[in-house]
Amino acid sequence: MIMLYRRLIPKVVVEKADSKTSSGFQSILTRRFEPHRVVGDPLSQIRIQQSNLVDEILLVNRSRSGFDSDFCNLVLQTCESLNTPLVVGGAIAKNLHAEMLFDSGADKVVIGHNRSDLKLLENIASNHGVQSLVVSLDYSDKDLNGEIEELWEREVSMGYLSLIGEICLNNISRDGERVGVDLRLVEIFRKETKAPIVAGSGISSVNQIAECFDAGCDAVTLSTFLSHTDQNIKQIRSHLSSLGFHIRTRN
Amino acid sequence: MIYIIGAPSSNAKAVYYAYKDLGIECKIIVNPLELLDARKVVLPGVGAFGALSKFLIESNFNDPLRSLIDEGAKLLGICLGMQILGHGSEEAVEESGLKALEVNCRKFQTLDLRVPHTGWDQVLVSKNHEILDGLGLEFSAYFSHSYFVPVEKELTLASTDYGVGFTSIIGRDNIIGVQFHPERSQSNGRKILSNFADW
Repeated sequence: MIMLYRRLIPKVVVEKADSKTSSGFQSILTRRFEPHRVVGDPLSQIRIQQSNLVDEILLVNRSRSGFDSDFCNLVLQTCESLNTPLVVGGAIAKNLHAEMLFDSGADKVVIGHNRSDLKLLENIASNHGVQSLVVSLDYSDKDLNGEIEELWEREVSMGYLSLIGEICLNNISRDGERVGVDLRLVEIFRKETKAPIVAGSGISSVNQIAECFDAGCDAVTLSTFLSHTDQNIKQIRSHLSSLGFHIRTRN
Repeated sequence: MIYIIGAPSSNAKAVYYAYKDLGIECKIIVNPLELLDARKVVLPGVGAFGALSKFLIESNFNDPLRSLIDEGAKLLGICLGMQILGHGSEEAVEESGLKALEVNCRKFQTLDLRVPHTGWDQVLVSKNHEILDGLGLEFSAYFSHSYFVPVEKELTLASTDYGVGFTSIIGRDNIIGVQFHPERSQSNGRKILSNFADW
């Protein structure tokens, strides 16, 4: 019997810190992918999440200055006490950027804007294996022009779908808005591709996570939800398990 | 002392920090000459079969590793590091592995399942081994791979079902391989790394 568990992945978004922190970065909550609120030191945020039985941790640098080698130091510091898979993203535009992040301890890297750069994707896949490559498709309601199929066709025409180990789907318009995930694209990806699907942006309840799993998502990312709920990840797991989902409730 | 082979595409640092966290002495090596006195070696994963095979050949690791195995040093292969212990892989048919185990890796071809096999899955233990002390007959671990070692009656110590049953732990004599990532498998993974150090 297949026993692969559905995954819950805390998403820790960081930017360069205004005030002094041990890592030089601060953890933030975003709304529509724009900074909304500073929530603290990313290293302590990750330590807290790790103690609550998470499946992976997604660490994203959204500083505007492009790829930042200081971010590699944060990844390195994170890894020093990490026993959980670490997925890392943040303006990766060159193979060198990906190499620096892997060298700092990332298990997988996320490519967003540069997903049409097939040479970059091929390089990462051939050196690190496709399982190490996550593409994040971040779109907004404006991009959709009302037709989700157009967006799908545009993504297909970019040619990256056969190169990736995982696809992360985010409707930016829902990020931080707590209105649930846009599942339309999930359904298309579920039918048309084999890569595992990670859904994010908009989750604000256990029922909305359940909807993602029912739609065929293999994992969800959680950010704003975790700062607004009384439940920690362990409790969310128990809740999902009681609803019948195949969720890890202990290590 | 645990010697961790630092192939450029591996996650050697993750294994290094896991051992540091356990308070066990370890070091990452990139020069095969450093293997001369090694009695415990970890070959970590994350990468592609062809790239790791080329690295081991071009960096002159292959022969020292084979000699160490013949001399009885303990070797732990992790994920791709386990796959490279075999003869070859469908991932890079022109490249060869260390040929320490009579196995070949195949690609997941199951039509209705997600590939890569990514996430936490169950490891079902079928044979006892020191590396499994304290883990019971079934435990969860973190996987991330598109290729697998088929179940081999003589060599498979534990398996996992993903459309097809595949080897999640393999072992013979002084060699052990795990398809999952103990360095990222929380307390279960730490137990395996610690057991390897005590083996």
